[in-house]
Amino acid sequence: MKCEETSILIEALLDGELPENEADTVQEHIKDCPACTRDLNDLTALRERLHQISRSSVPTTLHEKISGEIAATIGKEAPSGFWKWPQVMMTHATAAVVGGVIVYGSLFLLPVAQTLEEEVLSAHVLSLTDGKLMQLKAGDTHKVKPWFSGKLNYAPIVANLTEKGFPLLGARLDILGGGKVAALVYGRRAHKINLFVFPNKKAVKHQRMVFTRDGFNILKWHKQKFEFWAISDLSVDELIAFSRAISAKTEMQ
Amino acid sequence: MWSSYVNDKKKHLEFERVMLPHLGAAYNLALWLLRHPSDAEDAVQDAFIRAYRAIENWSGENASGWILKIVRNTCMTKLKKTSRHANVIHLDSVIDDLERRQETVVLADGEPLADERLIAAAEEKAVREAVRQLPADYREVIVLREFEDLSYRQIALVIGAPVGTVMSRLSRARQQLRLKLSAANNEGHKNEM
Repeated sequence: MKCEETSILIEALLDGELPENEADTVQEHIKDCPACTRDLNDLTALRERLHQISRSSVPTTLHEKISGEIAATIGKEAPSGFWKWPQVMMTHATAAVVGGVIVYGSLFLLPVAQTLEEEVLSAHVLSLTDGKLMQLKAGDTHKVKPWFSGKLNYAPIVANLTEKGFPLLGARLDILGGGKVAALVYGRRAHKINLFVFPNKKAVKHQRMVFTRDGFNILKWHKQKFEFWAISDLSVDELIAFSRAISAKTEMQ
Repeated sequence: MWSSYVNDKKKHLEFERVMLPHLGAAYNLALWLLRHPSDAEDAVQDAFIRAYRAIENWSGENASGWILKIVRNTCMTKLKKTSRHANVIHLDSVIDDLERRQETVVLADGEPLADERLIAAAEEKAVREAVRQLPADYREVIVLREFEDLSYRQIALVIGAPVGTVMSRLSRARQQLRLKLSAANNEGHKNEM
């Protein structure tokens, strides 16, 4: 074996790309050849130096930018239907004005409009159908809370409601409005409740809203700079009881 | 119309699950190819959006190879465009140059050399610089092999070239790096004396 032939094979050897028998032949040659030994040493030293280079970290906003841009395309191709007319009514500004007239605890029934409500609905339907309802199965708030750290840039409020008849079943990460959010799964008899929790500092306090769509009831409220969205096939009354129980626990935390 | 939302949402979640874990590798490749953080960020964003729109073309295997190929092609197109305006000097590179010169002066004075971390940092910087200066064709094979630990076959898929080409480019790239780094070492020794 000649050295010129060996040169590229030494690299292949170093890259772990040589089949065993060929690797043996090359190693045999290197043993008896000072020039090729030097070559191998040089290449090994180069590799070590290259591996000293630390990887640049990804800008923190890049993931959000990509998710946001993709989320913005969701449902864009959907045909516009008659039920979309309340969209004008349902802009958040309008909702806030209307909300001003509503006293705490009173309810506002509206058909679901295109926006976050739809996302909550599709997230709920998806979580029930794709078998990925829970990434973490744990009824213990002390296990659920730390599970989110490092996965989210906030610590969601996690309440234990077993004594109120809403046992915490588990949790997962989901996407709403282009960002990652905490999704907590609660049970009520055979029913499941998805509770989405994310920070919203601009939230209007004590304003609850109810939406109904496709047989599901959706309840939205704010508490302590967090926005809560609960969705289930439970009755509106039971969802309200659930939200009250959460709010009571939230005050204590 | 609800199925459209649900399908889109499903597609988005699946994309996040399969492709986003490769964001680090994608950004690293783009940064090495384009050499400026804001360019790299833009290219990766473009590439991921393109990948999302074309996800139906993905075979379902080797997600990292597939996404890196799109990132690589996006970067190469960008590089070709900018090389046409090569006489425009990037402000970042001017600042980099200035910083580098200042650091050389500090090292030549010889005082802070006692600090081993500083030596290691200078060494890392020299190697980094040597890779930065490689032609783009060589840079990408080095990054994919040494930093992303891809096999020859995987690299061939990403850059769209035969395995033989990958091997010869890697070999030439390493040759250039060895030359550059030994030259830098010699200069360093001269400065120390």
